[in-house]
Amino acid sequence: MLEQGITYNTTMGLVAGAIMLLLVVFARAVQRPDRSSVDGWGWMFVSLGLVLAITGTHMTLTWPLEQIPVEGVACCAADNVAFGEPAMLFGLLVVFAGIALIRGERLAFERGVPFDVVSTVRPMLYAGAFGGIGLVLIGVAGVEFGMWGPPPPDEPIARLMGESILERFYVAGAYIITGIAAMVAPFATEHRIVGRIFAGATLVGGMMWTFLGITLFYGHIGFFPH
Amino acid sequence: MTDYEMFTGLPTTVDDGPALRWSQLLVKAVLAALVLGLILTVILWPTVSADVGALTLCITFAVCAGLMVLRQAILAERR
Repeated sequence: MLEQGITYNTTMGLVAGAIMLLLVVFARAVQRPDRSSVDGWGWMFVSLGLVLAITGTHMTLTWPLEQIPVEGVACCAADNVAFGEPAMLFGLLVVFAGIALIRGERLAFERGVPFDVVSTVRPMLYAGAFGGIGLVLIGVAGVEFGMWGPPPPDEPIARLMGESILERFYVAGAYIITGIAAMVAPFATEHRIVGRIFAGATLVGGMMWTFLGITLFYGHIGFFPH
Repeated sequence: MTDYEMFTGLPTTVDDGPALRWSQLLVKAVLAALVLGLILTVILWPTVSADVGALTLCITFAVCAGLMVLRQAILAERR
């Protein structure tokens, strides 16, 4: 095992961001009156959700990040909770939402009735709203207990921030905004303002995770011993 | 039967004409951001530090991804 242990949370962050950003595109595309089948979208959600579900479940059950001792940094045992558990929950929900889309559309076609996307995925959104409460609390706890900073001095890119609290608030913000998006998601279709909050939070949260994931692919590789 | 309020997936409704105009504009913005970002990366990497260069590259890709997501969301599979 490498000294830094398992660092596949890079892919987890990128996939989380990709799912959120593609959800915005999907929400727009699916309501077109002349839209084609949602099969492709369903399989995309299944595949991305599987990445989160598998890595998140492994992280939740085995705590691989516990083995990373970094002097002076509040790292990393709690990261197994912060990264692993939400990834497992939302990954599984995304997988089954994708399957529900595929099956629901097929059943609607066989019965000759219109396919109601919202009512098909809403049960998953209800479950995700509970997870959203957890995400907000992870963000608050991360700031309160100093979970995400300051970065180790030998981690590329992140070390640019030195002792700044910017990274701590960035990651906490990503969790809290994602949590808000998850909490309002089941009700997004019922009120225009709630829909706008959902769309805005999903877009901003998705961008934050995507950017973080991109930087970590460089930073974590440079962080390994040479 | 209950009527749901239309959910557009974006904080605003975009008609066909503006959607097509925005999609063309956003593609140009992505190309401009990509070229600018790559030039800045090539300049900053050796002159300032590899970290700043890599960060510039990351910001470039994130901006491009964000703009393309907006474009596809506005287009919503219009042809």
